[in-house]
Amino acid sequence: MPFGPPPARPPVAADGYLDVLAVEDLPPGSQRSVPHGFERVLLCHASGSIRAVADLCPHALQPLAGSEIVDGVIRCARHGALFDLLTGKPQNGVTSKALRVYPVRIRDGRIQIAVADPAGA
Amino acid sequence: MAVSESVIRGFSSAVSPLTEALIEADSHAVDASLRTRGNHLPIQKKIPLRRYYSPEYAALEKERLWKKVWQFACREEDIPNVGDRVPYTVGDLSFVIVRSGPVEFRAFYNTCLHRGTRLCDGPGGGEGLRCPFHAWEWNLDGSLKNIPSRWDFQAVKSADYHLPEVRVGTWGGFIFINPDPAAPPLEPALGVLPEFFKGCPAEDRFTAFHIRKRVRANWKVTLEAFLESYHVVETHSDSLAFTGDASTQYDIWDEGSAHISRLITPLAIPSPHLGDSASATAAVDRAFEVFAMAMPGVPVPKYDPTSALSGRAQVAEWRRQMMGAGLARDLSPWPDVAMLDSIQYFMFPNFCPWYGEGLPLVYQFLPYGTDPNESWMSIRLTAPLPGGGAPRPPAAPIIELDFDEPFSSKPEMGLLSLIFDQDMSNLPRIQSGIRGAAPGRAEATLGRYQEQRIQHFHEILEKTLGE
Repeated sequence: MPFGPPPARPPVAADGYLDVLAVEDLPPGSQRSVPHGFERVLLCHASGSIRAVADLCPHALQPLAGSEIVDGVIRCARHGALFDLLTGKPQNGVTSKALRVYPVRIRDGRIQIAVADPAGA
Repeated sequence: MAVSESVIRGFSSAVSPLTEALIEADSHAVDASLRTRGNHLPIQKKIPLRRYYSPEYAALEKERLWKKVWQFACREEDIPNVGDRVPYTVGDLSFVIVRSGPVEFRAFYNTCLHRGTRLCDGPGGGEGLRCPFHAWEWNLDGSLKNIPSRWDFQAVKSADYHLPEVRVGTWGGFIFINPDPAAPPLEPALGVLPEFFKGCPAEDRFTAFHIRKRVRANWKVTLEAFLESYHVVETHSDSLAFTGDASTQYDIWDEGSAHISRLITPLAIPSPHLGDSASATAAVDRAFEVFAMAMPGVPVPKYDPTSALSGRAQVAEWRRQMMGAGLARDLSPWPDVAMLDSIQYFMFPNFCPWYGEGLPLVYQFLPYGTDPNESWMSIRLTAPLPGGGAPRPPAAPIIELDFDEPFSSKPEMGLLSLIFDQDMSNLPRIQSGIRGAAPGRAEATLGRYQEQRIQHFHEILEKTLGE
């Protein structure tokens, strides 16, 4: 039965960052969807920046992976919702809900994303 | 109508056969019920959309459906002790279901005979049914127990103030009611269910998780979203890698008095939509991952190409062993189909019991309040009673989710919360779209095979309402 608590997640650093991928595994122009418990995080290397967002469009809760990115804006391939990859804010009226964004940092050639709850919970 | 029309019964791929073929290939003996095919094909016609929002139609449903048919109310384990009671509320009708004896259940209109106060708002217990307004009180058999200031009600004869009672029937631990005193008994309305569930007795299970969601959609919109797997390709696209959506098998048994349908959606197999080159191995690996999510810390197996077993049989065998050990029950006779797949029955008008251990759920769909644009969906997860002489675990209490609360706010639901949230994201859109349909095109067009259970539901609804 697919009920139960989320699977164990890899250890998160004390400052809330989680190591997810080597930079070299995310070449410019590419995307990678990585599991994070029950959720998935979409890593995007676009316009010279590495961004991390939920791999789940808040409009119909479908995966975003593979969606087109133009000028830092991702367009959900299903129903056309647009989101700013940096802020997560919706850029058209398909949904008023924001896409979850994860702060990203690079350490020793590794991509790390901040996953800790802002409340520290 | 007999099943004679030439209907294309599902769509397969080179790596994803139809459900019937998967059942043939099962590594274990499969219960005859799962091999039995339906006996009814509904007449194809379009569904007028007004029946999903019209207050007049909802009023007709109240009078001719909810007041007249056998309907699923609750489970016996919800009221484990004598005196325990739960309300069963359907639209603005409400009944109180009471365990009036060790194995005796009664149901009454949930309204005080004094000035009309609702007697029972939620699960409770006690020796009597007592109104919170002036303490008029009834015994568990519905007889009048006490009226405070009895001297002031000289005209009230106790015998005339028995709580109005409605009929109760039980099967498999499920409690059904029928407010119509002239209705035939429950048994003929159950149709094939008692025979088909002999191999998976519902009375030997308990409610391990219970959640009820308020939905901004008509109760039929909500129900119908769960009667087909046609929507998986768009609504649950992230499940395609391991779900046989287009290869799902649908069957209907209509005996005149009983209206039962079933779907079997196979898992651990890629969607036929993914084509002939989809990975069957990836489907098996993903199924291992999904089923392992309920068992944190347990190593997740992968498809073993050296095994004599098929990929599906490997996942099923692993589940038999893991679940058998966890439940202290011998699951070794269970076929793969019952360990993996989604086997969902529907009994008109509001009841979906699932079969097997693949996804052992129970759904209930009800109108909510007086607004036909709102409904209630109750979801239970059941588990087999533990073996080894362990006592029956208590039923899980109901978790209430309001209109805007997502299932993902309940992390204990795991992956299922995303799946239900995906479904729920559609429902208000369907309701608002239906209301704004173009004149002359305000009707639904149903798929002949994959949406036949919805067609059947409306066939029976029309007969019941006399439309």
